Amino acid sequence: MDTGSVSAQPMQIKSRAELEELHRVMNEKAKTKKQIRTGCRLLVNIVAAVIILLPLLYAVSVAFMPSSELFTLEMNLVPKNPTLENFKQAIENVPLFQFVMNSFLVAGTITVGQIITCSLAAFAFSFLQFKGKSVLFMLVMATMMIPGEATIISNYLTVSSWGWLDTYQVLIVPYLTSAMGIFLFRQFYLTFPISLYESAKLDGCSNLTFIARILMPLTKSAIGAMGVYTFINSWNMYMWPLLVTGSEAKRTVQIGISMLNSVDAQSITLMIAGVVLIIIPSISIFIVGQKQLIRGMFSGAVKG
Amino acid sequence: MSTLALHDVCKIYPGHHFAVKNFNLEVKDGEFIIFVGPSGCGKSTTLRMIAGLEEISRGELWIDGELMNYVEPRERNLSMVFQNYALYPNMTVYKNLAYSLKIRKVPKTQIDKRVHTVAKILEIEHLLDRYPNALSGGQKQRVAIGSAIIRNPKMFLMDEPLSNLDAKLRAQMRVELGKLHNELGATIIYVTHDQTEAMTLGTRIVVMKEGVIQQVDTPQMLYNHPVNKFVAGFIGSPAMNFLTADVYEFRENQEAQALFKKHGYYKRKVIMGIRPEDIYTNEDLEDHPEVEAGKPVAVQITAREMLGVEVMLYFELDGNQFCARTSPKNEYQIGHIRNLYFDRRKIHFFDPDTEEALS
Amino acid sequence: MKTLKEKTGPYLYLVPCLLIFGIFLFYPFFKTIYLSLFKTNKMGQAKLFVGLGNYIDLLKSPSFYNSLSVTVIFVVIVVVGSMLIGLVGAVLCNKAFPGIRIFSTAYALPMAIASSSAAMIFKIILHPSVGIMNKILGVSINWVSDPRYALVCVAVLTAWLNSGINFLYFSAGLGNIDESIYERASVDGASSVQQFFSLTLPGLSPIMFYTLVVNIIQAFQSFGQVKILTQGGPGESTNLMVYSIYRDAFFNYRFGSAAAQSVVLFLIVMVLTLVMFKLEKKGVKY
Repeated sequence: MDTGSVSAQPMQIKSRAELEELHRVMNEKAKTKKQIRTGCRLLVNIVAAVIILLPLLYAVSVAFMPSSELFTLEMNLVPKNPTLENFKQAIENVPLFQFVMNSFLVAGTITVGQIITCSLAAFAFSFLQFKGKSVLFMLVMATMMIPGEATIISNYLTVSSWGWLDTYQVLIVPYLTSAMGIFLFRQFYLTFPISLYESAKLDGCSNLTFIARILMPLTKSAIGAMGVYTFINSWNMYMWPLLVTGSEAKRTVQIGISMLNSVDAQSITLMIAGVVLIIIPSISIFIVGQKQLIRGMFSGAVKG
Repeated sequence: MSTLALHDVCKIYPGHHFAVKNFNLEVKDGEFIIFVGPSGCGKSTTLRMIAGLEEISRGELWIDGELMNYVEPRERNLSMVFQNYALYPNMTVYKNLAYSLKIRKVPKTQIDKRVHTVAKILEIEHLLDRYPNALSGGQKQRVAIGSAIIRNPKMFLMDEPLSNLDAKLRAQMRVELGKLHNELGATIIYVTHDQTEAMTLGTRIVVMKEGVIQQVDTPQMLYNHPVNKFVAGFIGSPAMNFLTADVYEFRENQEAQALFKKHGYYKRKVIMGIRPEDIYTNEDLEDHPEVEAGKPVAVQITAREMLGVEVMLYFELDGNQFCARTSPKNEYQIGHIRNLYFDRRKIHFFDPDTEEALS
Repeated sequence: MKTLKEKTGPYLYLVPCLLIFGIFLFYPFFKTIYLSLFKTNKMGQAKLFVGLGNYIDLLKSPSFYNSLSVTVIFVVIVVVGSMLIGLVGAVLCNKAFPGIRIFSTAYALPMAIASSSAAMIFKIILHPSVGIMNKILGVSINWVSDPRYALVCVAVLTAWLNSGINFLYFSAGLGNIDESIYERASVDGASSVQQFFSLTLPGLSPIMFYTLVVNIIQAFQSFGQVKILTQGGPGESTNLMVYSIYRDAFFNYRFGSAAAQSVVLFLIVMVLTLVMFKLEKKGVKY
């Protein structure tokens, strides 16, 4: 890093005492330099992290603010009289519990469903031989290019013609598989030798037992990554639930809370309190699963 | 070129663990110095301290009479070849070679000339436009050496540069490295765990064990006069055979007798060492009249390895595995009991406690 | 002779996923193309075949061009912004130091936040009278109601949201760079700055392309933040393509026109993806 200092220059020194002194000074210097460097790194990181987290920190702060405090022209980064009133109001005013249950049900089912369908498909694509294998795989991969928004109109028309609007299955079924998941699992499965499958077969293992007892335990990190990613994305879904749910009974958290979206004075702090409440589950799962996510998503799939 | 001196250099890791302890060495201009030892002996750490990649915990490192302890690696003007070659994956071979010159703002035409000269020496001219991942192990090796010799550093540091090559390529590159050293007249510090590489390349060899220098000597001296049992066992392949023996009388060997008398080993144990090539069969003795064969030792052959020009005979002696390197003239087979002869002049003795050689 | 079970067996494992893809991706995909050739009634039923009529109408409509150009500007800001934030975070967390876990969680965290939640938070931050943004900057700008700022605001919000996953991509990319090339470079005489520009940045280029593709596709699909923050306004200054599709279909009941826009959106994304992969093959040689 810094090489402009005198220390960088070689020195002509001979006497023992001189050497000892030099060692002492230089070690001191190196120590200070290290401390300064770590300090700088820490400082820059703190600044950067605060900037990145600012919207969230501010939201938390507002959630604890009495609405009178928000509506001033003074600087009000932190609540002076923090209150839980907003959270209480939010829980009373909207059936938050219902929304949260709906979201857990939807996101949970989608996550489990994706893991199952993707494992099955990835298994076939990596261990079995059949006609049209590569064409089918290409077809699956090609779906990644179709933006979901480009098909949303037709999907809406389809499900409404089935009378599926405002049901749980309409929120869940369309998302029960994912090309990315198939790709990720296949990447992992391909690292296993085919002999793993063959010896299991010789031992009398059926394909399904092989998947459940051998493949899935071996790919825990991929499943974990996939689970965290899918859950968070399903929890955060917005456009589709907005279109297909109408009643409070089936609304997910994102739709339910955004219904609070108005500029009316009382409800701002209440709305933010609601937002904070519904962010907590996804952030918790993210923090808990972050390590899994990184290990699983990036170990096999992304190679330089 | 340059001289190098290490005075009492130590590498101490937290918990007072010495990775390298009191390393002392003077290297003269143009020497080919080998650091050799089993893995974890501190040889690479020492090399990395010379390069500046590791801090020196204690002691001094001098290059050309200048203290280098606190000089940044990039100011030391050394060049290094890494075990995994460390080629820049995003640069072509040409750019890999040119990188250190480009950083020094050498004019483009001059860089071009140097690159082509070096590429010619190493026979990699046809690879200049390739990227490292399109090269074979041997080619990467040449590029790594090329980017080290392209400028005129004070000395070359090489960290197990041949260990990732297959046996045939390794032998070939070994010869070329030796040639290169002669042509460049460069000072080279070379780390390896392979004693064959050490013996064939080095002008002097530093044998290390557990962070401590065991012996610094020419290959010849190391082979003939190892200072302790570790060096004796490490240098030479197959390794020296060892046997613990009680000393009571040693009539036949005047020299050894004097040795024991001097050190007071009568009625005590010593470790005796003999290299496989100093054990003879009846048939071989006829071809080697100079051998001072001792009393025949009757052994039962436990294994026989035919290597073409020589035959390795394995047997057990007092519970120790022995190996003899003999000519293919004998027809000894597994299970045979045969007489073998040790060349008395070539027997080494070591203290059983300190494992130091007796001399 | 193989039994029927052996022949059909492998396909059974693909049934669940192909069924879902078939019903909710391939079928609607072709139906969208089909719809785009018709005028529809309010129920979305194709009533009158108009051929390329909907497309011709689009090409004549200034609103469509506006939505295209707004989308392009938006995508550029979002992609550049979110990749830059992710890159800075990844570089800051590249070397171990105390607290690195906390900081890397912070940089990745935006990926866990819903676009709708983020939009509601930004709505307060950017509020003209009580918003913290105006208070900090000491100005009184009506951020989301001013056509000059609205698009930038939505874009910055989206860049923030998308930066989290980019941080992870770039961290993984940095982790893949062999540590020893830095050691060689420092012995070769390169300074930290030289090492960053000649090794670190190029070392990220393999993942850079992938990240770029993912980011572009993701940016094109932004919806929740527009819906909540600006509703495409003021004027049509934030009328991104996806929002425009939504509005045409579900407010104006012009399903045919919306379907035509969907097809255009798909074509843009597809062409971009293919071009990127072509470029990658050409550009990244290692």
